Amino acid sequence: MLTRLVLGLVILLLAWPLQANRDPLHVELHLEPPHLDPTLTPASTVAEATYGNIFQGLTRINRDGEVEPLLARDWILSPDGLTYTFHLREGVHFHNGRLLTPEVVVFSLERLLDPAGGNSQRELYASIRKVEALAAQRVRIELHYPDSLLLFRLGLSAAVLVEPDSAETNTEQPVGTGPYRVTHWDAAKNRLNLYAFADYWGDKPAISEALITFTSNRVELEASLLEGQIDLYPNISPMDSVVRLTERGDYVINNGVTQGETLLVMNHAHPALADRRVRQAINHAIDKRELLNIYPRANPPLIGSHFSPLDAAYVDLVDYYPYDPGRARDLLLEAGYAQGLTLRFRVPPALYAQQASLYLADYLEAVGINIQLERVTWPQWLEEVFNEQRYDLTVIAHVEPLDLDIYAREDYYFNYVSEDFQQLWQAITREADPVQRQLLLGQAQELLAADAVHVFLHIKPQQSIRKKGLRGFWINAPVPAVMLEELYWE
Amino acid sequence: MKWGLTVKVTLLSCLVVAVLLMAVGFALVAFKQYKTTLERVTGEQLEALMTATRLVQQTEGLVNASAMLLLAENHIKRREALFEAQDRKEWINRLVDELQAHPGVRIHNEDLEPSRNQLIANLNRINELVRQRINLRADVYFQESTNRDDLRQLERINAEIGEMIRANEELSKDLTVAVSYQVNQLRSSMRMEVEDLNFRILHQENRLLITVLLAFALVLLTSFYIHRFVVARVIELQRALSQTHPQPSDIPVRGEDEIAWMAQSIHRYVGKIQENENKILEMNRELSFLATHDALTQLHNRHFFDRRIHEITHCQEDKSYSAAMIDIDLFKAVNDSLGHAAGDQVIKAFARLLRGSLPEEVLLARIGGEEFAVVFADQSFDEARQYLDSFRQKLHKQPIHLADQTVRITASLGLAGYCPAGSINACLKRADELLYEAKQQGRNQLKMQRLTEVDLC
Repeated sequence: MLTRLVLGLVILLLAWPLQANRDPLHVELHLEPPHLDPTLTPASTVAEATYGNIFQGLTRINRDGEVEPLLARDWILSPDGLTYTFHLREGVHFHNGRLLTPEVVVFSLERLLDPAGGNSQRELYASIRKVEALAAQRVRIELHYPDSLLLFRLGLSAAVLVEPDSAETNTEQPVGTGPYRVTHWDAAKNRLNLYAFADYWGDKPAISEALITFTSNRVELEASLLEGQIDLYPNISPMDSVVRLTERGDYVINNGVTQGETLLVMNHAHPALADRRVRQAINHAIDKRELLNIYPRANPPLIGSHFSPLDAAYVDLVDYYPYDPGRARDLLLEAGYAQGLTLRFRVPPALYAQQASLYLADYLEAVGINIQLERVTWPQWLEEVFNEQRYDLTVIAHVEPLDLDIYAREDYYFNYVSEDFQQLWQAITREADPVQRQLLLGQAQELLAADAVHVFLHIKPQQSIRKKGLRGFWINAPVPAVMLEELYWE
Repeated sequence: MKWGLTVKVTLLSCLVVAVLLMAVGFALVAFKQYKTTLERVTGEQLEALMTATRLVQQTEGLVNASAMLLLAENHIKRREALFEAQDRKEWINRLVDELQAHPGVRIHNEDLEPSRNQLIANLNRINELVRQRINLRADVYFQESTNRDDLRQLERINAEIGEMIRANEELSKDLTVAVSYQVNQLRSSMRMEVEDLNFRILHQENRLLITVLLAFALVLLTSFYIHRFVVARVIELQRALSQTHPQPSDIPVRGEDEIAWMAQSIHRYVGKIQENENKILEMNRELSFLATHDALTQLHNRHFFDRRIHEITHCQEDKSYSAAMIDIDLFKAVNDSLGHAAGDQVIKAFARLLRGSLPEEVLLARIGGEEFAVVFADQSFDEARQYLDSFRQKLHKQPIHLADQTVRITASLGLAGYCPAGSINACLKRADELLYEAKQQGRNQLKMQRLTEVDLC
């Protein structure tokens, strides 16, 4: 009996370090983040790394795209739809030890609403009039007008809660309430080490340690995958080696969908692109169906406007501008650009953008537009294209759900100014009746198509690759997120 | 200061533990060396080796990219190849930086950089040439009239591309050779480090083995010590004490420790017991003597005599006995004239003479004031008669010297003889009668009778 006990203990002791010494989960996110504060950048790669892992909001969006309570246990909406009272969870600690209080929520939301605060999604929260701390872990949000999307938007990465002591340094040392805290961030090598937060208010996650890398270089990324270094890469879509990797046996590929619209974005500040005929010509020049060949194992839906086919208000405008190079040349001739139009096409390092740009450049050159194809790094794209608007064309997926409002924003990097659209958007935001609202959303989609604001290509596919045995991953990405908390090894 | 067993055993145990700790220490040192080397080999060397290997791959890949560029029949393929080449170039740059950051690697950047730069410049040139070629080909194939100049230019471009590709292959080979050299260096360094580690671990293993043997020897030594100096001595002590009559001389008292101290106490104790026992034995002997002897003459007393007679009567020994009764003649006169003290002296002298006159084995007792009895067992009747008569004559001739005077006394004797053990009482009785007869007939004489069976009945 004793011998058996001793033997058991010895075996346990021998086995224990093996159990404990599993390598950190290695997640690859491709695009290098400008910093680590999701409230200060539109870069979805920051959200993917931090949302739900480091930072959390009052609500959250789950894997099915539904709103769930998170740091707010529950809430009450006043009958007039103008006042939300949120009841906060008790005993929630930030990674620096600070407690979550109504005052912290007020600070965080006021920071979000502050025009000088730098939140690129600030306009999504324009309905908020006032945020007030109440006793007994309660926060009141008063609205200018009823906003049915508010709870959804409070669950986005732009609205995660931050606290005053660390808000300024979150870009380099993020401090949130999430299940993981940052143990090391090597900005030069783009390596982010996370470890399970001991004082986390929720359940202890199955994965206690994670390494997130951002490998922009396609060749390097491909080599890392082939060497088996990566456990999870949520967006492998346009990579030739996908086919080879699926045959290996150690990786599993999942096809999912996102809410992200892939666009050939045109800068309306360019004199030629300000001309709707030129934009229409560009739309006719592109064979959207053929372009899908860049995805070897996915077949994402085509779009004709900035709207997800998964949404009830979707209007099919795919063939608004059928592929017609002849018509494109005619329109260019009509606009006075039959010869000599040269456009600077700046391409971010996202794989789909790189791959698509090859074909898009070829289509455009085929109708007589000279293309200066220029690859830029992701921080360069964010800075020079998104912020400074130094580009003529670019290709990018807008992954934020229900973000039609960007066409109504002044000074957005599209430089699209349409009073019609702005009025329509105002009407949409204030329309409480769902049927009427859906109609208005349809009109907005048609207006964008008619104006040929961009070339609306297709929904960005979410083809993820993961090690066999890794479970709990979001196949679809209703919001950009890699929920480490929900992952586990089989 | 005297070092007791506890201190000695503790010291020995400490020595064993110290040696064992030393063994554990050696093992830990070996593990640490192993760990450090393994970490360095896997963490740095292997990483550097991987980096170098990737660098070789990517450098070769760059040549492939120029081949892909060369083969591009349209701008999509051309740009795709260019993108790939740019990615490889960007990664190569970082790989070179990483490799140079590694302490064990000495890449002469000034040697590599021109090659790399030339390679990239060539790639860009190839890209431009291929771009022109694609456009020219489109012109040549799709335009109605074939332009001779265009064809010539196409030939020239093709030739130049060929040159570039060959140049790139050469450059790539240079790079590959340079980096491969480093790969080899790294591999050698890793192998050496592992060999060195193996050697050191072997060394530690030997030390560990020696230490373990030493520890084992120390354990044996400790056991031997405990057995020899504790257990054996306790057993010796126990054996000495287990004897029926333990003697102080049997108790081992050597040494200067707790057991020795205990043995010394036991030794003293046993000595005392021994002493007391001797005293008791002495007293016993005295008591026993007093019970069986006459205090004045030191001869056996009546009590003893009667017991012996009783024993003889019942012993059924096949012996013939003679019995004699002796009485000092006119002793009352001696007592009366010289006093009791002198009388006692006379009786003592008489007894001394009587004892001296008879063989040692003869039973002799004082059975009354001046009356003595003798039983002969091993002597013949005649021998008995001779002994007694000789005594009577000695007494008669030899005066007894007292403190201040000399006394002459005589004795009357009756001897009856030759009776078996069972008839000894009858024999005694007859001797007494014969004594009486001797007294009657004038004293100082021996009356005797050889008894027949009839006399005894």
